[in-house]
Amino acid sequence: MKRVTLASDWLESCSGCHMSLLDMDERLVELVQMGLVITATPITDLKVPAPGTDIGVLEGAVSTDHHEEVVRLFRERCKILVALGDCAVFGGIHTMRNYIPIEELLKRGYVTTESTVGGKIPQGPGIGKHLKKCMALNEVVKVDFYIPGCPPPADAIYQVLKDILEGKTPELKEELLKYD
Amino acid sequence: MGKVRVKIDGKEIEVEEGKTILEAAKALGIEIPTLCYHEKLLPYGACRMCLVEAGPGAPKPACATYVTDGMEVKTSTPEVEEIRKTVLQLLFGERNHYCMYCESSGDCELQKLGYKYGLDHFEFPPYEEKYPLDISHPYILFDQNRCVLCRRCARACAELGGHFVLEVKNRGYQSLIAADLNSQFAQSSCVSCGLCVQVCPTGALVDKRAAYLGRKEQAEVIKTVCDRCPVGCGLEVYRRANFILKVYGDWDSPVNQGVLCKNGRYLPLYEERPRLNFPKLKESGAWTRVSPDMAFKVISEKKGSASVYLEGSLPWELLKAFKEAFEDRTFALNPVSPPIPPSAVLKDLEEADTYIVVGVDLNERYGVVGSMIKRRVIPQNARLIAVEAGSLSGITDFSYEYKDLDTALGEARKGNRIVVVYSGLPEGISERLRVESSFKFLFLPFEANTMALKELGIEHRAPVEKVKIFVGENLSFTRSPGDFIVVFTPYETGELREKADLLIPIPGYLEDEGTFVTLEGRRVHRQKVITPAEGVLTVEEVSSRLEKI
Repeated sequence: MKRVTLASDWLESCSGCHMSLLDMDERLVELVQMGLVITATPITDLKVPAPGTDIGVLEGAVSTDHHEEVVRLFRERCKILVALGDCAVFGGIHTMRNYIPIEELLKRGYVTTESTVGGKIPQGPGIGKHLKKCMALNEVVKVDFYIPGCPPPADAIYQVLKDILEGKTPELKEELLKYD
Repeated sequence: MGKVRVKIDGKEIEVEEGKTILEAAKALGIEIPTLCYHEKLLPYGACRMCLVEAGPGAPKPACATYVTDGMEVKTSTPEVEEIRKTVLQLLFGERNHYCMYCESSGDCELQKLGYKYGLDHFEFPPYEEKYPLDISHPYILFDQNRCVLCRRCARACAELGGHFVLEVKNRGYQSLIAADLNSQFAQSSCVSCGLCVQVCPTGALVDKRAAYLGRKEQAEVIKTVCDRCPVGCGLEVYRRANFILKVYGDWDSPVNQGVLCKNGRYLPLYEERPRLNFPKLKESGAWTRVSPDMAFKVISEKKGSASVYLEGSLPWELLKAFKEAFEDRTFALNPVSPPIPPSAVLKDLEEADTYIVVGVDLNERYGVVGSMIKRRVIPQNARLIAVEAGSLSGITDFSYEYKDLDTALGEARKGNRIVVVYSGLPEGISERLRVESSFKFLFLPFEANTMALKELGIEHRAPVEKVKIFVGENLSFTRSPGDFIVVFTPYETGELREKADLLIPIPGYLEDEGTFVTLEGRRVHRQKVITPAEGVLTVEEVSSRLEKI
């Protein structure tokens, strides 16, 4: 049986799309029995996709330089790249910050919110720096397939992965295509 | 008008000259996607979704292209489908169309097109420019980020409402729908008719009160008739769990064809007066709850000396019940008879070339009659002459005070089909108007069911007796020492608590069914849409108790 490796990660996101992926329940086992091998994902807690990974799935928008690095790594190491959820596909809710200067944004988030006492904006090499604009995946790299939704229905994620495993081009429509 | 033969997708049809490709296709049962097109509005060709192949040259917008003899149309070639997908990408990419938390998600025509054409990503990245958000208006929220510039709102405001408030300012990608060209909605000349919200295909113009309270498919849509004035406009009331979400105009109603005014669409939903939830009797200065039996026993004891004063806003069944119980001691609180006998119906407004509106502000009351007049003044070259007509006087060059009535009449006589629109008239004015034999007179009865009061022979008189029964929604009266005052009303205001002795609750807006007689003498039956609190007596209950006292 052919092995098809899948790696995933989440960027500027809420992880809801990964929850929806897990919401496939037993159908995940079905996909594994069809040949899917799940490697580096936030759920398996392995951090980096191996070179030559077949399917890369990314949830979340690209908002910091760290995110951009992950996206480029995934594009380089995965043959097929799938954007999972409205944030990865369209940019999503986080793009609201595009209308606010970054200094103001960080100050509001870490210092001036009503319940914060003695707040400080985090600094350091481990903290990503905000890019000028919070973007969808396809504004940074070429994306092969998209699964919109907030989160996408588990049925849609299942359909797309199954189609890829069967060598078909996934096409979402009707009940499976949702923007909210 | 001649006929033309046209072939659409291989099917032939003969249609009248002056029909568009979209209309001809519809007659053949062929669907073409649209966004800015609206059945009740003149075609505009703004969105370009309906582009079809129609002979040599660039594709044509089906909604705005007349068919010509021998035309061959293809509504769905691979090229046309590609064009449609690109147009959709451009529409989505122009502004900020977040579906995730948009009020209209699920009811949005742009979103529906996205789903239909399998749009699963954006070709053109958005979210770089923030467009204005105007939340100044008390009832309507305007989010420019969701606008697709279909201009349906501006077109409806002009063509159907006759208000001409909304228009497009700036050009190109900087175009914005603006009220009075540069005002905040709340400071503009908007009369809150709500047509813009009703026609907006996306979440740009949204009803504030109904926002986030449910999609159309989660609500029940009930067709009924408005009871706020005697025009009798058709309504579509959106109800969810015994709560009115919003009121839309019924496009299919022959009276108003979807147009409403703020009195029927918004004001009753924003009622702030506290409700009267059960009968109350004032004993030694303190209010105590009493049963309906007790309340009517008190009335029964005073029956011989009581007189009833009725608002004309009540259903026919209730008016009749009071009349039968109190006979010639039943009166109307407001004037009933027309100062000039009417000779026109609403349809006469469609053919008139001169309107003379006397003493009534059609932006504040009878709003749909105002729309019927205003929307013909600019496009159809009709003239509007306003004589002390409140805010209406500000929109016409022919504006007069009563002292200049002769000049106004002189102007009016220049027309061919002249309609006088009036309600109550001061002394001396009605006599001078009445003699104009070439004029048609459209009388607007004072209240929604004034015509029923007339039919039942109930006449207007000021209250004089000691024992009085008042019935209505907007009651205000004086109390003299020694009075005993009973009030049937939905609302318990401070004034009523101070001046009345017995309060009995009746249903409020859309809370009970009843018959109304419109200004044209038509009987319309109003449906019960929501159920009031348990202690409120229905019209049926009040009527049957009155029979027995």
